Amino acid sequence: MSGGRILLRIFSHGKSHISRSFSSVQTKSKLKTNPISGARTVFNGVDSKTMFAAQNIPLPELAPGEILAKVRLASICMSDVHTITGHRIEPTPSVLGHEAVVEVIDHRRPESNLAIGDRLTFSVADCCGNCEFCLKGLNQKCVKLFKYGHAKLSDGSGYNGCYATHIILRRGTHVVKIPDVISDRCAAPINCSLATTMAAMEHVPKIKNGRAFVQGDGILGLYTSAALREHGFEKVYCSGTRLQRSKFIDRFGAIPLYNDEVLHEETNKIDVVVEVCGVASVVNDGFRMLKPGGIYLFLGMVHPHSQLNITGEQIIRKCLTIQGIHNYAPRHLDQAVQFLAKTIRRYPYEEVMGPTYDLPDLPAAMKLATGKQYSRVLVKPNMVN
Amino acid sequence: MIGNQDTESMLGTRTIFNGIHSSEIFTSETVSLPELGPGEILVKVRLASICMSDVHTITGHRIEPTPSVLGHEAVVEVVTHRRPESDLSEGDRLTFSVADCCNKCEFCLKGLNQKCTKLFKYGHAKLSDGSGFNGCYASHIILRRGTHVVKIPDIIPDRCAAPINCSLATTMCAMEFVPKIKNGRAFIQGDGILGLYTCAALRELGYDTVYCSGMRIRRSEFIDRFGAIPLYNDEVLHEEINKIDVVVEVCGVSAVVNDGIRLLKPGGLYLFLGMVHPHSELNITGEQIIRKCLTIKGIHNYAPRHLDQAVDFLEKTIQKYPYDEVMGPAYALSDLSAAMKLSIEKVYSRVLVKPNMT
Repeated sequence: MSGGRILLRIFSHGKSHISRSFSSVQTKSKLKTNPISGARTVFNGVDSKTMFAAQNIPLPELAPGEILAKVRLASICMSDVHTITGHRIEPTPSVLGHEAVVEVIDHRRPESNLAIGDRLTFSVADCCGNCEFCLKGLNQKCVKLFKYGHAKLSDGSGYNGCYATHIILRRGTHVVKIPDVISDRCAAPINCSLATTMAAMEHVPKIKNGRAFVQGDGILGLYTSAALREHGFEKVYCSGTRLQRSKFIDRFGAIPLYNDEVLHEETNKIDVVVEVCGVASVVNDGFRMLKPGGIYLFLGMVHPHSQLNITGEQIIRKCLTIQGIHNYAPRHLDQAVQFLAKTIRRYPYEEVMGPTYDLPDLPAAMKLATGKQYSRVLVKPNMVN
Repeated sequence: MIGNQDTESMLGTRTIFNGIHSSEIFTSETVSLPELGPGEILVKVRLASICMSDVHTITGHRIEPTPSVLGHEAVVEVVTHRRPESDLSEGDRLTFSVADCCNKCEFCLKGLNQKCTKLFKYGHAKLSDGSGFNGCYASHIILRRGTHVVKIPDIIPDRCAAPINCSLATTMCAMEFVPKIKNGRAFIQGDGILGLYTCAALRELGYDTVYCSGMRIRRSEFIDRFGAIPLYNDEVLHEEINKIDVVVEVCGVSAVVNDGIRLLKPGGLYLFLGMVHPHSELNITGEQIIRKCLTIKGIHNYAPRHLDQAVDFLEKTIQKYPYDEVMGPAYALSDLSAAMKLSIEKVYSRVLVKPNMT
């Protein structure tokens, strides 16, 4: 089914399309019921009769190491848009949504300094901490990887995604407190967009008079522009499409360009090129611009229609490095919070965010997100202060 | 000792490559050697080896400026020099950097000398550039002032020393990017001299399991003696999917890249060395690189430090690996065409050329 027709199906019923059901869930004997109930929006798959269904389910008791958190504000990542338009397959039924700022309600991490009411960001990847990948700092490829917003309802507590009033953070999930200076609107995208940007930046050398080219002006592109400027890069270009380029590129420290502009004067002069638009055809231009010894970061093309049209010779003759970046490790979450706290007044983090929707209006929020008018569209499942 | 020999009275012989379309592809000439400029070294070529890139030039697959003296891999001997600050003596055996560089441009300063803005490469330069004694298929070479040189320890014979300054130094450059990994597993795609040297280097770095693949029609018999498990290039190693830390492409064939990507574990490293030609279209997706968080690194030539590392490495491991045995016969300069022809067969890792009685 094409993305367009799927959209029509979701949105044709108007604002409150989510079917409400109050399931009588048979709780397993090992999960005692909690007096608190949560609401979650379950995604049933693009081909199902009811794509989104609301459930009110008692929250299970916490296991050791877990944290019960209230979702203060979630943001809609483009990967979720791709899931609901059928471009991306995720296990179903599931609760989508993996970017959010949350608030501690209860926890079983006695060794931590967590307190009820703490605002947190959390790692999208719940990991084991002791496999080969965790031990080498590539936790996002943990052999026992679990990803919030990408897990079946039947996995663990089922409160596995951010389009819900609550989320249960598992014991292998790294969390970081959000300083007061960071508002909810700015905090929500930390644990996907900004943390991933930090993972990318780990591969960027500090270069005197460094020049960079960021291909893409979505939230990743804007954050990367800022991060490169903060890293000391003198000149950062950022390109967007003619149809719909972000008005904020210059305020994130970069020189705005259009994706069809060929910057001849920068041929062989760019130290770092970052692909954050998901379009494989930009890669040839990136290769052209890179100087010998330069580095190309690939972040956006996480889909099969990303056939590259390049030669081995291009990579060898210029001694180029290509680095694939997918998700991030716990340290990058810490770095993201620190980065944001340090630069919160310098860049228009708040202004690029779009409007906020209630949980029952998730389909409308998704529709707006699909339009890419805002860097992020927000979902607020609870009344919060 | 500053050489003050009057080089003007000395003669040198060089074999000139005129291009594949000329009536005489190779011509020989004997001319006076010019006087040395400051910083230059006049050396006698003791033994040269024929790099596959030269084979590609004379078969028309590679275009180089002509007329020129080809040949860039050789062990040489100091005749006289103008580097008073050095400790060079007449008779010293040397290896030398293929890249003559300026040492002060952006690339030299960041250690990527092989991309110097004023790059000059021995064996790749027109006759009219500088002294014209610019390649190893000649009795002499004049090493320019920006050329790094390293003395060859006595324990390394000429036959083992000749390929240092292209093959082995390039291998050292590649190794600079290879992490020391406990129980590391590597896969070398190609069993030419680069492949064999890379196998040894990986084993010396502590890699546990190193595979090396060659073609069914003609695989090197020395793979296992260079520390690797021999495979054929059409074998699919299912059990190693997602388990290899480092894959090294040293065969020049872009079709192997898909297999390499499949073998690499998340976070793994792919080194590209061989595909230095336009017919190297890659049939891969950005997704493959991103989802496994792979690093792909292109390696072309090397920097001065890699020449030092190559000599140290060879000295340290000279008894351990059959460096001498993989080398082929040595031809006189006048038989260069026959030597080239044998090189094309790829029966030996290297065919040798001995321009002088030494």
